[in-house]
Parts: sequence; C-alpha cells; structure tokens
Amino acid sequence: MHKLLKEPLVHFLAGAVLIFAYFWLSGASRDPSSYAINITASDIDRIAADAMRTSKRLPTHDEISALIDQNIREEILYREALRLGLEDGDAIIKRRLANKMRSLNNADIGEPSDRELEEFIAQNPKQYQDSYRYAFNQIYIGRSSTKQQQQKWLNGLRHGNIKPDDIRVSLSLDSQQKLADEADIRRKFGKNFIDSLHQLETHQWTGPIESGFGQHFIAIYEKQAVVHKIDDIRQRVTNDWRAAQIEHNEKIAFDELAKHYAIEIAPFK
Amino acid sequence: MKKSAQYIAVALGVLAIAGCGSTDKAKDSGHVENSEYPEQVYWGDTHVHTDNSIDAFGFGNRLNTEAAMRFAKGEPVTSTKGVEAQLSQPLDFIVIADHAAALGATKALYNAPRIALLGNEFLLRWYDMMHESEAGSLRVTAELIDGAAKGTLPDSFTDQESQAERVGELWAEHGNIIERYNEPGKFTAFMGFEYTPMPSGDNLHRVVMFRDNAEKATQVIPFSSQQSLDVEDLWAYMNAYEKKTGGQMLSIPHNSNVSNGQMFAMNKFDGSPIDAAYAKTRALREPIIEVTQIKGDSETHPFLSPNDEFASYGVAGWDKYNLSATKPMPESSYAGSYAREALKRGLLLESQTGTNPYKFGVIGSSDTHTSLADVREKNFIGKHTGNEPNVKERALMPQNLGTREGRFGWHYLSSGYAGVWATSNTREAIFDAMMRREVYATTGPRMQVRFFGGFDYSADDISNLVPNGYAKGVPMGGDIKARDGKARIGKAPTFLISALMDPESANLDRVQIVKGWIDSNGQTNEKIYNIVWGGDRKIGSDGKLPAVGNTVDLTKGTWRNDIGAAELLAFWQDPDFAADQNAFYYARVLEIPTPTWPVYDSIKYGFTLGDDVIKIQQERAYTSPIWYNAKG
Repeated sequence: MHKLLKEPLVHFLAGAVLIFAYFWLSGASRDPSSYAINITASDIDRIAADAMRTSKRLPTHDEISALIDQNIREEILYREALRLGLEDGDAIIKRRLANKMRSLNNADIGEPSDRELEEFIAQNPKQYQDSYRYAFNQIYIGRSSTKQQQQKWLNGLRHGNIKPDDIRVSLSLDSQQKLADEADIRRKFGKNFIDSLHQLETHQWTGPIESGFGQHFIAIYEKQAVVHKIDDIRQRVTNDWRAAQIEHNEKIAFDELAKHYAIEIAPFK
Repeated sequence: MKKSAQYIAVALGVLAIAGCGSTDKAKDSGHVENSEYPEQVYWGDTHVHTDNSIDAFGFGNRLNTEAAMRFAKGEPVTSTKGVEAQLSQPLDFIVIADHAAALGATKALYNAPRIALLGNEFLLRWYDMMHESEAGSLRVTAELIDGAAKGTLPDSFTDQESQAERVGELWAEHGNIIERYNEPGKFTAFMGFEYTPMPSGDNLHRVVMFRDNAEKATQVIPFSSQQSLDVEDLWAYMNAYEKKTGGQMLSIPHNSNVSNGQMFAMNKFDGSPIDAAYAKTRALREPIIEVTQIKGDSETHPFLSPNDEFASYGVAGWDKYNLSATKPMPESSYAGSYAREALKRGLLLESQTGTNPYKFGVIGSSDTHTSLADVREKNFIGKHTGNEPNVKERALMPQNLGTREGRFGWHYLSSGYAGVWATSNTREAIFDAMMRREVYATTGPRMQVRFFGGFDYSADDISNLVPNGYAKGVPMGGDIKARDGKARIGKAPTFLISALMDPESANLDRVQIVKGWIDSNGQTNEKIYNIVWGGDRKIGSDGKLPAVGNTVDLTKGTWRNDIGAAELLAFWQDPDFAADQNAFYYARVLEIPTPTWPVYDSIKYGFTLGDDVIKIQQERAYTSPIWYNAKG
C-alpha cells in the first residue's frame, strides 16, 4: 500500500477514480456545465505530489499556485469546449471513448461448466472433430522419377514383384509410421502431405503422393476418426470458449446499443 | 488496496481481457512421460514481445499475451494492422519476453484518464502524442528508446520501487494467462522477461526465463535494467530467486552484434579482468545465447572470418553502429560481438582463469514486437507494428533505430527459431535441455539437425545414428575429454551428423563443421570443414566446395528443390587434431538459395528493390558446440 501510494501512475489513476467515485457516490453530480470550480485540499495535495515526482523536491508555494492556475485554466477551457460542442467530430476523443466502452463489456468472464464446453464443441465441430489418426507404410522415392516409372513401380508393389526396399531412396523417416494424429504427420511430412493422405484408399499401396521431401508410395493400414473426450482437450476448448465469449459479449453489448439507432447509408460504389 | 486495485483495473481496461476468473491451479507435468533420450526436436521462440513491452505498445502493438499464445499454438490471429496471420506449423513452446523496464507502462499511460496526468507535463506530452496519431506514437517510442539509452526516462518509467505495485499486478495476471496456455506434453508456455541494459546504446540485453510455474515465478517481479546495468546483479537476482523458491532460471544474451564489443568482452562490467568466479557464474547462468534473430545474425563477421564465404549472412545494417545508433562500432570491437569469436575467447579465458565463461550453446528466436512469432520469409509479419505487411514499401523505409546511419527495413531478417532436443514437451524437459545446451539455432526453416561427438564412432554408426550417437558419445552441447578416449595415443575425435530438410522449405546445400582451438602459443584459430553436400561437387584446389547453384526466380519468389539434397548424413574425424589443445566443434547446415522477405513484398506490391537490397540468401542452422578438453 505504501509503495502503491508512491507510484505516480497509480496516483493519477486513484485520483481519477476518486473523482469519478465522488460523482457516483455523492449523487451530487457536479455538473460539468456548471460555472463552479472547487479545488479541494486533496486536489492540491495531488498537484504537489505530482510536481515532486518531476522535480524531486518539494514545490514552492508559487509553483503550486502556478500549477493550480494551469489546472483551472485547462478545466475552464475544457468546459467551454464542451459547451461549444468541440468534442463532436473529434476522431481521437471518439476512438478513446469507443475503446473504453469495449473494455467495459469483458470485465469478468468466469469459468465454463462442462456443459458449456460440450455445447461449444457441438457448435464448432470442425475445430475439434474433423480429424483422423493414421498408421501407414511409406516408401520414399525421391524427386526425380517419371510418371511412367512410378506407374510401373506401383503395379509391381501391388503384385508383389517389387519389394519396397528395391525402390526406396534412403531418408531418415520411419518406413512404418505408427498410429499418429494429423498434427504429428503434418509436422514430419509437411502441410500438403496430409491433404493428399485423406484422399487415399486404405490397405493397399497407393500414390505416389508428394511431401516436402519428394514422392512417397503409401499403404495406409489404419485410419481412425478422432473423437475427442472433453478431458483430453479441456484446456484448449476452455481457451477457445473464452476467446469466443469475449467476442460474443462485445457483439451482444454492441447490438443492444445499436438497436436504438436508425442507420441510413447513402449508396456508394 | 484490493478495492482500489480493482477500480484501477476497470479504469485502465487493461486487465479485463486477460480474464480475472478463478486462478488456475498449476498444472503439473508429472503425468507426461519422458523418452529415454531426446527423440524429437521441439520448436520454439524464446523472445516474443507483446503490448506489455513499452516499445511494442508504442509502435502500435495491441495484441496481448493471449493473442501471442494462440498464434504460437497455430491458431489464426489478426495482427494489429489487420493482417490475417497463421503459422504453417504450430510451435511447441514460447517465452513471452516483455521488457522488464517499465513493464506495461506505455499501455497504462495510454489508457489512463487524461485528467490524471494534468500535473505531469512530461507524461502529458507523451500521452497526447500517442493519442494524436500513429506517427506521434512512433515518435514517443523513439524517444523512449533514446531516453532508455541515455538514462533520461521519467521516474515513473524507471523507478523500480514506485513501479513495483503496478508491475506486480501485471506480472500476476500474466502468470494466469501463461498457466492457462501451458499444456504439459502438448504446448509449453514459460514465464520469462527481458532484461534490457543498454549503456550508451551498446546492447547487453538478455532474455531471462523460469523453469517453474507462475506460482513460483510471481514470488519475484522481473529484474529490470533500471535496477542495474551490471549483469552480475541479474545473476544475483536469479540466485536469490532460486534460494527463495527452490526454482531455476537461465539467462540468454542476444544481439551481441550491436553490443559494440561489450557482450563477450575480456573484462567485467566494471572494467576489471574476468576472473574465475565471474567465469563460473556466467557459464552457469548463461548456458545458451540467441545467435540469430530479426535484428541480424551474430554468428560471425567477414572481418573476423575472412576465409568463411558464408560469414556475411545477416551482417548488413547491423555492423556499423550500436543498437541505438549512437556510437559507431570499429572493426576492433567485433571480436566481442560475435559468437564464434566469443567461443574462441572462452578457450583463452579458460586457459587464464581455469573456467570458460563463454561455454554457451546457441538458439535462434525472433524478438518480434508484434506478438506474432512467424519467421517464414513468405509471411514476415515484421519487427514491430510500424512495419507490418500492410506497409507497402516497408522493406525500403528507414527505421527508427539508426535511420541516419542507413538502417533500412530490408536489413531486418525474418529469423530465428530455437530447436531443442528434449525428452518431452514440458517446462522441465525443455529447460533442462537448454541447461545442457542440447539445442540449436535456425534462421527460420525447421531443419532437423543431430550432432554427436566422441572417440568411438565409425562410419558404420550412420545407419543407426541416433541410438549410436547417444550410446558412444555426447550430443551437441556436450564435452568430450581426453581421458574418455584414446586421445593420449593420438586418436582424433569423431563426429556423427545428420541434417534433414524442413519439408516446407528448401533442400540442403551442405553441412560444415566449424572448429575453433587454442594452440600451444596461446593463439586462437578457426577452420571450416565441408563435411557432406548435395549434388555432384568436388572440393577445389583452393579447398573450397563450389557453390550449389541458384534456382531462385525473383519475379515469382520461387525456387526449385532440384539442387542440393533432402538429407545429409556424415561421419567425420578431425584430420588436424592435436590432443593437447582445447577445441570446440559446431555444425553449420546451409539451405540452397531462396528469396528473402523483401522479394515477396516487392512481388505482392509491384515495386522494385534496389541493387543494394539482399534478395537471395542461404538460410541455415547452427548447432551448439561440442568441446574437447585436453586436460579433462
């Protein structure tokens, strides 16, 4: 608390909060359009403390007096500006206030229940369920074979008169890929490979399909659709849910406000 | 105080999105199984700045830690400037390394009610500039960096005591987010920060990271350069943390290239010569360095390595002036600025003090200030929010740091990542791998590189390289000692190396081993050996391997993988070994030539790059060294 009191930013903010709190709590609502300006003892303390921050010494009476004048001057000009409606159409003020409104809507989101998470998964099936695990054998044949050669090899593999090792080009990739999910396979073979894998027939030599390394003949011997259990992906879903919630809250709050407005837009190209 | 803190949180609107929900229990990684030896390389970025960094926010970054996490995990995130960004492959781990100095201060200033700042003309001016326009915000950031270099920042940005409360709350909130995204076995989020000392603009920055969960890490607040510019005070802070919590920390120096010779100096911060105590502490606290990142590459310099035809990578724009471009850096300073020379200096200091202070491994990381850790050339998000891809000619524009001295957008590299050979994807396993230096650096592509050293390998071991590598010797980062082998009877150390291309990047040109040693006259030396390469090439009479060729099409931003090789494997024995001379060996793996990021920008926007702009490069990986100790 002691340190907090010495922190200028906190100090400024606390001062601001007090002012706001005063308006809210007192109900006295100092009307910004009024012509009364009351510099209280605590205002003066704040002004003096701020001055000390900058100059590292106690401000003199004259300096405090000058700072008070500056405050009053700014307050008067501020109120006059409001009276003249100068804030209207000021892009900076507009953006600042709009941002403040946005952050009001997401103060506390809380923790989701299992039910909420399950609903969220059900609403976003693509994000969580559209994946497979694969186990397959692969033969890497490099980059330089012709289509004709590949067709000949595939026939040979299927009829058993070509053995995988006869045509395999050496590369430090497992020739037998144990059951792995898409992310693992994508990591090993690159992004495009997995898309091709989805298209292949299973339980026989097919291909070749292309990875970042070159061409591979593939024999998928297991293909499993992945059904996630909530406990396996709880953390990920919770984070996704939270992000969605923030977006949702902002939208709800905005729509609630927006419905009071009649909006017309002139046609444009 | 609790109450006022809440009001402030609401008033600031800063912490709202971070979520004030129930604190997550620290998840324990006990259930994650560790493999017997590292089977997989884990990819990460240890150096990501979010909107909590004073300069990142000033540059316009409005993406928080949460956005940085989601992006690193592979989810699509819209950058501050509206660029739809997504990693082609997720990362496995991340360290958010926001500047400890004035942590969160520009954000707090920006979001403060203006009325609260009326008494402080200095802050008020910055406040107004930041709100006035993006250009104003950039000017504030330039002043901040300049002020930090000159030590003229206002109290509220520098005085640690007065910052402690604000930073404490922000750090605790940050810890909550980190815990929420840390998933042992799947994705590792580390607690960390950046310590940013910059005396006279000479860069002595470190990323500092914790092995522990947020509950432990938040028992201290980040140590800032405003507390001390002397790195020994950082180490003392780390030591105190470990004593207090039973936890563990390490520190990662970066951008030695703009340190004006100070990062790997022969003396301590106070100018006295490095002694055994300093050497020991440094080796313990700083087991790895970040050798490549957006602000250039620090492996070596053509001045230091005139016989190395690949020494100039990532040097342009960064070797003339220090970080803040306030001081020119003479060639005589380079020896203290680049990693290879530092490894050699380490051998020298070891001969003088008995301990090698510069016995470090290497990683790469981005140092992005956009919250988005993507270093693919094709989708370079930018160094900071002021040069995101929406800025058409960002490659040609002068930059805030060192404009007058000719630092331009294209000098930024779209580099680096850290590869870590760990036994699982957990904080403990990854951190421990860093401590034993079983890590390597890449300039972006995720090639898989293994490197083993010992006295007992033979060419036959290649066929089962990894198990044999671990069984008969040590991996990268390790030590081989004379007594382990038959060095006494003159047998030279042997090495196994494998390099597999990134399947989403380019073929490999070659693998080299860089050897450094100290001879009987106490002089340090270096030599580069081409070990294995793609295609049908012969080493020429000048000892050099001919270039691999070039398939880059600058009009399309493409290359063809029909030169080079998808994988390179080798056994190698040092032909110049002297058993009584300490040495280190590290591997460098080069890709075939590919386009740099400005080429993709020029194609996208249809403008022309000048002749001075580097358009074709060979991306690369550097492994941590293996050290040979003659007296070991």
